[in-house]
Amino acid sequence: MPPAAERPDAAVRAARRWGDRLGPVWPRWGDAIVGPVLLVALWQIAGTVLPWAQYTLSSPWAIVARAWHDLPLYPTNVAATLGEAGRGFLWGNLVAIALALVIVQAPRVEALVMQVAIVIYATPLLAIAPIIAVVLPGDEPKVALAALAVFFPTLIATLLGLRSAGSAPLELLHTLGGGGRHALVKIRLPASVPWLLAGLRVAAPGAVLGAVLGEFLGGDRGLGIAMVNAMATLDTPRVWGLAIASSILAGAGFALAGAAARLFVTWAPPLDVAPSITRLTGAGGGVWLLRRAALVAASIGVILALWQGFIVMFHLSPFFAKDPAAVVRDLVSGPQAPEARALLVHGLGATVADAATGFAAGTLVATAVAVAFVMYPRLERALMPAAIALRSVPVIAMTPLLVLLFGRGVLGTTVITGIITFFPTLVNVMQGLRSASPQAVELLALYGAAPWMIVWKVRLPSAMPALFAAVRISALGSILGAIVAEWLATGRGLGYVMITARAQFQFTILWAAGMLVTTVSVVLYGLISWVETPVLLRYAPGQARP
Amino acid sequence: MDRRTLLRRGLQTAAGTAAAVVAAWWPDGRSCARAQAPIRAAVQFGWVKTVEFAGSFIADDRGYYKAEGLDVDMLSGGPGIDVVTAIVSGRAMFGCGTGAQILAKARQQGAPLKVIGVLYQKSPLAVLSLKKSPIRTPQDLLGKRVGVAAADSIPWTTWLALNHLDASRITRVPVQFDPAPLVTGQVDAFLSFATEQPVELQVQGVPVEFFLLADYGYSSYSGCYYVLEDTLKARRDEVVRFMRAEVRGWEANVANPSLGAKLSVEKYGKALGLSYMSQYLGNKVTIERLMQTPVTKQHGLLWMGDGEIAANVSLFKQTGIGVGPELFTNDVLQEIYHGRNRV
Repeated sequence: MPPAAERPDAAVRAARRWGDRLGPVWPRWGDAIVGPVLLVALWQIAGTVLPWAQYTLSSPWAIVARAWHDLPLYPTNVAATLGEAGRGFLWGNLVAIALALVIVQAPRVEALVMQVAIVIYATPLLAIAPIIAVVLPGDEPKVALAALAVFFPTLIATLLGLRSAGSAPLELLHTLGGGGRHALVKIRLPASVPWLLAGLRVAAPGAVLGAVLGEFLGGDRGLGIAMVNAMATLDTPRVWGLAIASSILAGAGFALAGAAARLFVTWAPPLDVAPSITRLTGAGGGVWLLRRAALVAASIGVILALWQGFIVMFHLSPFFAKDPAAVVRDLVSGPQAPEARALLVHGLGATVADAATGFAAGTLVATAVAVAFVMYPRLERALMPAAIALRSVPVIAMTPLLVLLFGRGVLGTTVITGIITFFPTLVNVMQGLRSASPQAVELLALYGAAPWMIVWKVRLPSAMPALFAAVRISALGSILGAIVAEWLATGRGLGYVMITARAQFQFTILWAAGMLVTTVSVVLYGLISWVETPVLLRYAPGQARP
Repeated sequence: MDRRTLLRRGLQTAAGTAAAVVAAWWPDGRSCARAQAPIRAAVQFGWVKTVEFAGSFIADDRGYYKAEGLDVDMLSGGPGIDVVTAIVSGRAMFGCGTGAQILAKARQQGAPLKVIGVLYQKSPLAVLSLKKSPIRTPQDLLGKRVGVAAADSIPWTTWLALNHLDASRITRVPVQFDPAPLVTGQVDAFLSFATEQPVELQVQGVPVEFFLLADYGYSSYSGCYYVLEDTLKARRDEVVRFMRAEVRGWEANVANPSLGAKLSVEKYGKALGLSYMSQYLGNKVTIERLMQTPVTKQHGLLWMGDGEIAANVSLFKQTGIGVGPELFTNDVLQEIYHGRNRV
């Protein structure tokens, strides 16, 4: 069987025919130049024409001129951010990959480990960052935030990869007497690499963003800190210059992971079975629910123990570190318990609504764009740089502009949240669409099926597991995005409750709100798994176990 | 004290002992002039390293800390750093740059803090507006949209009540530290820091107007230096030495406003790319409008007058914060000034 790269994909061929109309002199990389150039030209026009653009949109020319003047600023700050992001990337990935290996080899602990990992991922950084900032010395808080941003996408992608090995080779190995470790080394690890690399493409920009977010807490140097000062002094072209520098760092990480993936594809085993992240069992709904409940109870226990342990281990002062018992006590029988409860319940409603609209918008748009990109690779080459740039600009730096453009209402919140959920979905769904069986795609093409028919009949079903993997990430992301939007723009919901509670030293409310956000995210994650099971049984029956 | 500090202190003592042994043994005693290694102490700033902390920069640059036998770690703040939490957790010994009303609130919630000196005798919080649609008095705010950062929510609601302004008739918009919402017309006024946003906008060529909350009844001290009560008891000597170096730094800054601006731009805030002009102008506002009053002329910089302390406490009382004058102490400054008004 020839390697995957040598079997031209029907859709790719269709797209090439479409591209050929421009003549044979048009090079493939031409699109990658034309797309960004057009966008930059549009930006320059908007920045020159619109009256308010001077303090928000700026213009490419003004940004370049400012950056030239600011040149001495860049080496120190880029080096600082890169160092933090690099260390965070390393640690976050190491922990994620190690955990994924443990889960695959010891499936019994999977559910529990995943629950704990989800809780860690779902904990709003807004709530924990100030705690991390005072607990860890020096620049370590920034490294920790970068690692947290990397951890979850890599864990999900690695698991997906380790499970992507076809069942036939695993069974063959088993009948030949090979044990779990052989399966891991000979079959699962090689099969996981493309998926891991897809995960790293999400993780690399995430590490840079995590580091920049950490720098927004405060510090001596780094792109985020320089950005804080530039924002405070209304030096808009400099804000953009620094944001673009962080985008370039993030984009470089993305490109490196992508290049590694392309290098690898030449000896990749063809992915002929759509992979599944969950172990599918034939169990009925009742048993499933019971198991789920037991699992949730166990993971709540683990989390409470971790929480208490964290406070004891770092000798955190009870002034700001409220243990679970203190939070519950204050909310049940504290002097202002009814007010606090009302505040939290009211905030929760707003946050859930904000997250839901952002999530729906981000997922729909990302799926549509992924389909368009796979059907028309020229479009991908032209617009992918813009999509990466969108993901790589720190939301906190982009928010002033988004708020101005889309307001502080539902639309603004939806856009801020949608941007956070857009990218993981885009990358994952594209990977999923491309994982469709080439034979099936080619067969349909031979029978003269239209490209959209191929997408509908073959590619989208193949992308289902990847879509669900993306939805898991982006559902949690949408909650965190809603909190950021509430904090920075709308002044409602749990995001604002948390930030004002912090400002007024009402740490019980802060912790309680953090706990609520985490709980909602975990429940959401459970719901997605629940929906996912029947869908995967239908679209990826090869993975169903007796 | 946490384990890390304990370990560090232990190592320092060990290092000090070793240095003393070496000094005694070394043939030429002059090469180890100080028998005691400098004591390490950290100060947590409330913001990134700008001219707001000029006194500390000068104390470090001119060796005032060193002269006191201190090796001071100046920790940058920023939008996400809560100085009170950093002090309570033991990350830093000294807090610098927080408003008194906020500290009173923290004390009420159980943080045993003591204010040992006050940089801003008047709060720098200022209502900022554009010259083309100016807001000159509190009454002008009615029916307008005002940008208020979450961190300033306590002073803002207090001030509205002090001026009998109906909060429901003023639209409060959540903002951060950047004044873009004001210049793009999303808000009509912006609760700013008189030493920062008004100055920056003027330097950027945007004509603005502002008035201080302090000129309309907001009598809270700001830019406080503070420590934990236990620190004041157990490490009083270091507290006195640190504050003496700070006072010397601020005295030098008042004498020469360009010195602090230069150090911020060229040395301590170098990675931020600060503009000398805005640092200098901000420093002038601090020196001329905020840190010097008849009380400081009489007793020295950072001093807290009895009348002003009483005004702070009455403000706390009006806002339901049951914290009295015990939040403040002039003990440390007394030991530094010895009844004079300069170090």
